[in-house]
Order: sequence, then structure tokens, then C-alpha cells
Amino acid sequence: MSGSDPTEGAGVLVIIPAYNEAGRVGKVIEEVQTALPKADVLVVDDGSKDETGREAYEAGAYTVWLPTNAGYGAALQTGYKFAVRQGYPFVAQIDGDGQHRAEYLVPMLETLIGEKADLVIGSRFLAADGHYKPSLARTVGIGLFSRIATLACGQPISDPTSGFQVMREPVARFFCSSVYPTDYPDADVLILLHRTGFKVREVAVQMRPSPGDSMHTTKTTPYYVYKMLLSIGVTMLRPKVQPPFEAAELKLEI
Amino acid sequence: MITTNLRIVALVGSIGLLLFIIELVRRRRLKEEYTVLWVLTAIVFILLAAWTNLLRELTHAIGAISESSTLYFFGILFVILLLLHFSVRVSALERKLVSLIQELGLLTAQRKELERQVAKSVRLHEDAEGLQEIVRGMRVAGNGHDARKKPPQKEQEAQQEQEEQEREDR
Repeated sequence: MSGSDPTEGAGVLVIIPAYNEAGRVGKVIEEVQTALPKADVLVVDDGSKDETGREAYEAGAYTVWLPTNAGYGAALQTGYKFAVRQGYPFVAQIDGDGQHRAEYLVPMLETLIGEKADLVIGSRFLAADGHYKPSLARTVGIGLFSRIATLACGQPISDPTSGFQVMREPVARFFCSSVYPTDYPDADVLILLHRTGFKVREVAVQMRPSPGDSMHTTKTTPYYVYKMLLSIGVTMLRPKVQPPFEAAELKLEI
Repeated sequence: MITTNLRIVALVGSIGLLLFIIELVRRRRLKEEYTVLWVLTAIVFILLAAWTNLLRELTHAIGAISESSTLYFFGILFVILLLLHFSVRVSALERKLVSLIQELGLLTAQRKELERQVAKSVRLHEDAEGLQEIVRGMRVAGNGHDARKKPPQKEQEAQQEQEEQEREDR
């Protein structure tokens, strides 16, 4: 049994989306390999201007070089496509800037297996230990979306903006279709998952403060709030999607 | 009442537009798909300019006072629809572009992984060749005395050469 234990990383692909993370991404890969020794690591270099991709490749990770900057969601979706085509039963995602601590992937995978969830979010706010203090604008934004997601899903969602997640293959497959936003997937995706019938759970994690030049700085702009409200609104207006999901985006086999 | 001059301008303009669109399609500069709104607008303008009663009744129906403002209204409506159409097209193009970028990235990943495997197997091959050489050398050493004697001979030669050089240096 120990040979195929997902909580050690067996059958898990860890996706690391990275944009201009040279000097940081190597350390993240190392942390992931320590936490999940049997997992495979895939770095998606989202058209970085620095040596992010080379650093990842030389650290031994599978590396996707996107020819231009396509956005956080597009980078993640590239990883899902890779995972589904290569047949991984579990997919984890962790940011390339070192904000997420890889050791929490273990309890997240344990919850995924133990509670038979489809997706587990690593939440900064679930433990309410106050270790993570975002800026005022962010606190307001995250609080708003947390409340909306909680209402829409009928279950508490404390950290809908967290990009620290583990999921099962059907969720990754679902994300490969055109339902997935290629700019900033967020609370709208969680609501969509809930409406599609997937089971979402949260696990308390600690995060490090993000470096200032992170790819998530856009999350404080008024446009982001507007986009998310619109996206959530139309998600609620759309008819519920039922599996099997369109697989047109997956027809090209690696 | 719309002046005859304006009527002529609208007629000539919209007929000219219609002919220009047909010419663009004939030269394959414009796809048929994009002509729908243009052709429709040109026809509506020709109708409005030529058919006095239609324009008068339309003006009354939309609550406008001047008939020329009805023409402007339809002109602007057309521009807005066209811009919306382009926004939709751009969104579709962007989606396609993103999936192309992703495929290209995935192919790069595949190629780099193959390169890594090739480099690894080349290394293995070289190691194997090295091993074979060692094995060959051992076999030669086991069979004859020449093979074993040669290296010491070489060493002696080298020593002699060194001694000669040292003598020359003095």
C-alpha cells in the first residue's frame, strides 16, 4: 500500500505556475520534492522574461515554456492538460513564488482521500490564527468573495482566492474545457465546481507573505473585483453543467 | 422633410458602400461572414433614402423630429453593432490563441523531456563503451604478455626523455 500512497506523492502531479520567479522556483521544487518524494513536478513558465524555465528544468522538473505571457489561469490550465493527458489521478497546484508551503500538501491530500473530496483548498484564514495579514484592500476583497462563495456553495469557504489546491483527475479534466477562466480563476470557479456537483473542502494552512512583485498584484485592482462579480453573476445564471464534459480541448494526445 | 441633396448623398453613399463590399469579397480581402452587417446596413440606407414614406413613418415611430436624425440613428446603431461583433470575435480569437500558446508550451515540454532522455541514454551508451573498453583491455592483459609489458616500456621511455631534457637544460 505504501508504494502507491498519494499522500507521499504517488500518482500526483504538482503544477507550479511561475512568472518571473527565477531564484525562487528552484527552492519551491525542492520543497515539493521533500514533502512529496514520489510526486512529479511540472513548472509552467508563463512567458517569463528571466531564467525561470531553465532553473526549473535544471532542478529536474518537467517544464512547459509558454511562448508569451498567457495569464495565471492559462498557465494552470496548461498544467491540467498535461496531467490529464499523462493520466495522473491527482493534481496539486502551488505558486512558484514560495508563498505556499509545500509541507501542507500532505494534510491537503489526506483530506482529499479521507473525506472523498474532489478539490481541497489550502486556506490561510480557516485556522483564524492571524498569521497572515493581507493589505486592507485585499482583506475587504477576500472577505467579500468569501461571503459570496459561502452563500453560493451553502458551505463555509474562507479563502476562495487561494491558489494552493489539490484535486482529483475529473476536476482537472473539467478545468481543461472552456469553462475555465484563463485570467484569474477564483471564487467563480469554486461556485462552478459546487454547481457541477463536485465536493470542495478546505484545510488550514500557513502562508508566507508574498513577494511584492508577485503575479497576483492584479488582485487588488478595482477591475479584478468587477470581473469577479460579473463572472460569479453569470456563473449563477448559466445552466448547470453535467458530466461528461467536453473533451475537445484534450484531443491532441502527447 | 429631408432635402433632396441629403437623399442623393445617402443613396450614392450607400450604393457605393454596397459595391465596395462586393468588390472586397470578390478580391478575397473580406470574408463573407463579416459582410452581413455591412450589406444589411447598406440596404437599409438605400431603402430609407429611396422610400420617402418609410423614412417618415420610421421617424414618427422612433419619436424623432427630423428625418435626417433617423438616418444618423441607424448609422450609429450599425457602428455599435459592428463594434460588439468585433469584441465577440476578439474574445473567440483570444481563446484560440491561448490554447495555441498552451499546445506550443506542451510541445516544448515534450521536446525538452526527450532531449533529457537522449542525453541520458547517450551518457549510458558512453559508459557502456567505456566498460567494453576496460573489459577488452582486461581480456588482452589476460591473454598475452605484450599488452602487460607495453605500459612499463612507455614509462621507461618517458623517464629517459625527461632525463635527457634535464641534461639539456643544464
